[in-house]
Amino acid sequence: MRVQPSGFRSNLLKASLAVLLAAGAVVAGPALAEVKGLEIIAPASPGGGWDQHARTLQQVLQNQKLASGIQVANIPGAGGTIGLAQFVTAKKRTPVVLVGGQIMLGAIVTNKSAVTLDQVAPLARLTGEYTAIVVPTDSPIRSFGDLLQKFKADPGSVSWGGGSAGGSDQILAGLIAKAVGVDPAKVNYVATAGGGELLASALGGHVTLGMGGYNEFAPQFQAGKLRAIAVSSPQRLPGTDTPTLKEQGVDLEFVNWRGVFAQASAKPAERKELEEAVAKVVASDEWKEILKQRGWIDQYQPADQFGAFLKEERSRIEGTLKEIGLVQ
Amino acid sequence: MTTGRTLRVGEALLGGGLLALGILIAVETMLTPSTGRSVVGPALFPYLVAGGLVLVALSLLREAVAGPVAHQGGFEMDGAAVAFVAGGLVAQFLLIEFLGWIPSATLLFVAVARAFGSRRLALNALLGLALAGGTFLVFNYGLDLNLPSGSVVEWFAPDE
Amino acid sequence: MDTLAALGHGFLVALTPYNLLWSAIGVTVGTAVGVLPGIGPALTVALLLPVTYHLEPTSAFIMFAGIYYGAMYGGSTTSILLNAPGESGSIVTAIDGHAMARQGRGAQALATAAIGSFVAGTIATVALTFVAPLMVKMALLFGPAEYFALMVLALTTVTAVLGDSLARGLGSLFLGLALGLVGIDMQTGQARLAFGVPELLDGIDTVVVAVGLFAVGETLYVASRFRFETEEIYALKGSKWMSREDWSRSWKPWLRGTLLGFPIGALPAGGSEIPTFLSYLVEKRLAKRPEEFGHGAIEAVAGPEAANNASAAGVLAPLLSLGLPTSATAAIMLAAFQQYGLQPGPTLFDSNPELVWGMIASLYIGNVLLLLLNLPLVGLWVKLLLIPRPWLYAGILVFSTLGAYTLNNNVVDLVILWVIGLVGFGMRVLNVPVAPCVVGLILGPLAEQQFRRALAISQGDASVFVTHPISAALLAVAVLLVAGPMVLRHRQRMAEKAAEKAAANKAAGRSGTTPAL
Repeated sequence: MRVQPSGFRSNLLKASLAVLLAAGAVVAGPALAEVKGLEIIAPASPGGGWDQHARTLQQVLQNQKLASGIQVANIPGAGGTIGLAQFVTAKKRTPVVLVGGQIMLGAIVTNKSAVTLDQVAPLARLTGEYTAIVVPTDSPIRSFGDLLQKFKADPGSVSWGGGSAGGSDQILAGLIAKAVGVDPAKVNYVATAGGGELLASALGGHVTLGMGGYNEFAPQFQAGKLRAIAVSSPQRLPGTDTPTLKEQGVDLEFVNWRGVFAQASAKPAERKELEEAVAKVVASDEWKEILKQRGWIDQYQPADQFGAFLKEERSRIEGTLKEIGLVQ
Repeated sequence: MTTGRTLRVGEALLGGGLLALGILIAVETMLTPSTGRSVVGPALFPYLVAGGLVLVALSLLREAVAGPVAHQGGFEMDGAAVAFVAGGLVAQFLLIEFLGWIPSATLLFVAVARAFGSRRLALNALLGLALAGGTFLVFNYGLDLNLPSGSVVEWFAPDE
Repeated sequence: MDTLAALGHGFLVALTPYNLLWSAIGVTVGTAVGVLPGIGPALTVALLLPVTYHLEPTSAFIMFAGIYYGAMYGGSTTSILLNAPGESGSIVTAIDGHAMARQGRGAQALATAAIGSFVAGTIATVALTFVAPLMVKMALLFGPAEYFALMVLALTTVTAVLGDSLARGLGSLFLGLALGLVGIDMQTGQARLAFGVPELLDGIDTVVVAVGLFAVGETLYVASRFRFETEEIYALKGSKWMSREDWSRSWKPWLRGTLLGFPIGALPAGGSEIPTFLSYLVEKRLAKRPEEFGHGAIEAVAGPEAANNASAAGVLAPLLSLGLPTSATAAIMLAAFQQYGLQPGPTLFDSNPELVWGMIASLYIGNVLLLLLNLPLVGLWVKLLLIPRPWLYAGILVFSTLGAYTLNNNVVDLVILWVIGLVGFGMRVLNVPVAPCVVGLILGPLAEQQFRRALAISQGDASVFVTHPISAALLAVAVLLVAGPMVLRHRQRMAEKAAEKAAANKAAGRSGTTPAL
C-alpha cells in the first residue's frame, strides 16, 4: 500500500471530521451525562421490534440525561446473529450495547451461529410479550379444548400459523404438543413472515389457528373478527378474559422477551455504569409511558437474574427445537 | 480484441458455467441433511432448479457448437478498462471498513473515470472526494445511517 | 354519502395552511430521500419517523403520508437515469426507462412516470376512500394456493423479456431461480446454498442483484466498448415535454397499471413487484409495436410506474381498515400509529375521524403537490446526463455501491454486487437478457413458499390448486398467456405454409417453374 496518498486522505478526513465533531458537540447538549458516546446495535432493520427498542432506549437515555451522543446502528440479518457476531468482535473506544431477544436464541441454534450469547454479558431483560392462540370467530373450534381434541385425534389436520421457522411461535407450538402428549415433530407448522401476512391467513381462515403477540391481535378481538382461545401468560392479562394455557390444563408459561447486552470485554466499571443507566431508564415515567403506548409488558430483570433466566431459557429452547426436528 | 471464434468459446463457457452451477446445486442439496418435517421438503425446488439449469446448459452448449453467435462480425473489447472498473470495486470492498467510505469511494471514482479514459487524476480525485464526502455527510449526519468512517480513523482519533 | 361528507371534512383539516405546509415538507423530503440509492420507501419512512414525533398526530400523519408518497415518486428517478433501481418495485421501470434515457428521452420517461404516478395515486386513493373494505374482504380470500397461482401468473412475465434466444433467456431465468434459493428456507429454517457464510443466510437481496446486473454490468460493458464506439447518447433530444404520441401511448397503460396495482397491493402477500411485472407483460401483449419493448417503449415505463404507485395506495387499504400491515413500509406506519397510542382498524374511523380522513384527504393533496414538485424537476434531472461520461459512470458506481452497502451495512453485499456485476457484463457480451434473471430471483422464492404452505395445509393434497376457484382461474389465465401466443404463432406459420404451398402449386401449375422465394 502506498502510504502517502492514504495518509493525505486520512488527514483531510480527520480535519473534516474534526470540524463536524465540533459542530456536533455544540448541538449534542449537556456534558453532565454519565455514559458518553454510547452505541446501540439493533440487529434488525429499522421499524422492527428490536429497532424500536433500541430507539426507545436512545430516546429515554438522552431525555433522562443518562447518556449523550447515542447512536443506533442497524445490522440486520439471520435472526439477529449477524448483528451479534459483529457486536462480539467490535472494538470501540466508547461503550456498545446490543438489543436482542428470544428469537435470537433460536436463531443461534438453527443457523449454527459461530457466536453465542455466552460471548456477551447480559445487562437487563426489558420487555416481553405473551403469545395468544387465535382462531377466526366463525371457526368450528370454539375453545382450546376443541383444539386439543382435534389435535390429538389427527395432529396433521391442525395447521399452526405463526412467525419464522424456529422462532418463538413454533417453539411454543412444540412445547404445547409435548405437554399434551403429542410428538412435537408432528406439529403441522406453517411459517409466515409474521405481521400482516400472519394476521391475514388467520383472518381468512387459511390456517387452523394463528399464534403471535397478544397485542398484535388485540384490535381484531375488539372488532369481533378473531377469538383468542388461550394466552401464554401466568395469569389472565389485565382487562382481558382470555384463559391462560395453565387454566386449561397445559402447564406452560411462555414470554417472548427482549433484552439488552453489553460486550463481554467491557470493563466491570463500565458494565456497572450501563446497568445503572438501564435501571434508571426502566424506572422512569417516560419509559413506562412508552411501554403503555406500544403495548409492551415490563419484564425488567437486572443483570444477575437475567443471566440465570437466560441459562434456563436456552436449554428449554434448544431442547424443543431438537424435538421438533429443526436441529439435529 | 475478441472475434467470433472466442465468442463461441464464451458461449461454451456460459453453457459450461450453468451446467456446473446446476451440478453444484444438486450435489449441495444432496449433501445437506434434511431437517424439519413438511409435506414438501426444502430439497424439491433446488432439484427442480438444478434440473432446469442442466437442460438449459446442454442446449446452450449445443448452440455454442452449431448455433448463431452473438455479435456476428466479431467484437472488440478494452480489457484494461474492464480491469479498472472491476479492480476499483474490489479495492473498495477491501478497503471500505479499514479506510472508511470516503477514501474507498473516492478511489472507486478515480478508477472508473480512468477506465473511461480520463487521466486528470487530481481533478478526478477531488470530484470523487466531494461526492463521497457529500454522501457521507448526508447519510451519517442527515439520516443517522452509518457509513463506515474507517477503523484507521478510530485509531488516530483523539481520546474524548 | 357519509363517506363523502367525512372526506369533505378531511379536506377541511388537510387544507389548513399549517397542515398544508407539513404536507409540502413531507413530499419534498420524501422525494429527496427516496431518490438516494438503497433507500426505498420503507427505510425513508423509518428514517423520517422521528421527525414527526413532536407534531400533533393529525399533522404528523399528513406529513407522513407525504413522505410515503414522495418516496414512491423518488424511487423511479434513479431507475430511469442511472439504471440503478433503489427498490424492487421500480426494477421493471429501469428496463425501458433507462433505455429511453440513453436515447435522449429521459425527460419523457420521467414525465410519464410522474404523471402516471399521479394518475395512479389519485385513482387508487379514490378507491381507498370508497371501496377499501370490499377490497380487503376479497384480499382475505387469498390463501397460499391462490398466492401460488398468482406467482405463476406473474412468472409468465418472463415470456415478455426472454429475448431472441429461448435457451439464453431460460438460462438467465434459471440463474435467477438459483440465486433465489440461497439462504434460510422459510418453512424449515434450514440454510440452503449459503456455504457457511452467515451474511448469505437471509438470501441475496433483489436490489443488489438488480443494481449489479443493470448498473454495474452495464458500466463494465460500456467501459469495454468505450474506446471503439461512442454511441451518441445521453443528451436531451428535442423537446423535454411529452409529445402527443407519448400521451396517447401512455394513458391506457396508466389506467391498466392502476387496475393491476391497487388490488394486488391490497393483498397481504401481494407485494409491489408483482403488479409491475404483470403490467409490463400486459403492455407488451397489447402494444402495437411489441418489438420496441426492452429498447425504450414508453408504455413499459408508464404501466409499471402506475402499477407501483397504485399498489402503494393499495397497501393502505388493509392497514387503515383492518390494521393489517402488508409491507415493510406499512409495518413502520403501524408503528407510527402506535407511537401516538392509536390502533388502525375499523374502530379508528369512529374514534379519530379527523385524523383518518385528514390523512386520506392529504393523500390527494400530496399527489398534486408531488406532481407540481416533480414535473419541473424533470428538466433538472436530465441535465445529470450531460455530465461527461467518465464522471457520470464513476458517479453511477459510487451510488450503486452506496446503495448496496446501506441495505445491510455489510461488505458482503458489495462483494455480491461485484460478482453479479461481472456476471451481468458477461451476459451483455453474450447477448443474454438480464431481466429474466431478476424475475426468477423475485418470484421463485415466493412461489416456492406459497406452494409448500398450500400443500402443508392440505396435507399433501395437490388438488387444492385447481379446486379453489380463484387459484384455478389464475392458473388458467397463466396457461392462456403462455400457450395463447404459441398457438397463434403456430397457426400463423401453418397458414403461411399452406398459403406458400398453394401459391407454389399455383405458380407451378401456371408456369411449371419453381417460384423465386
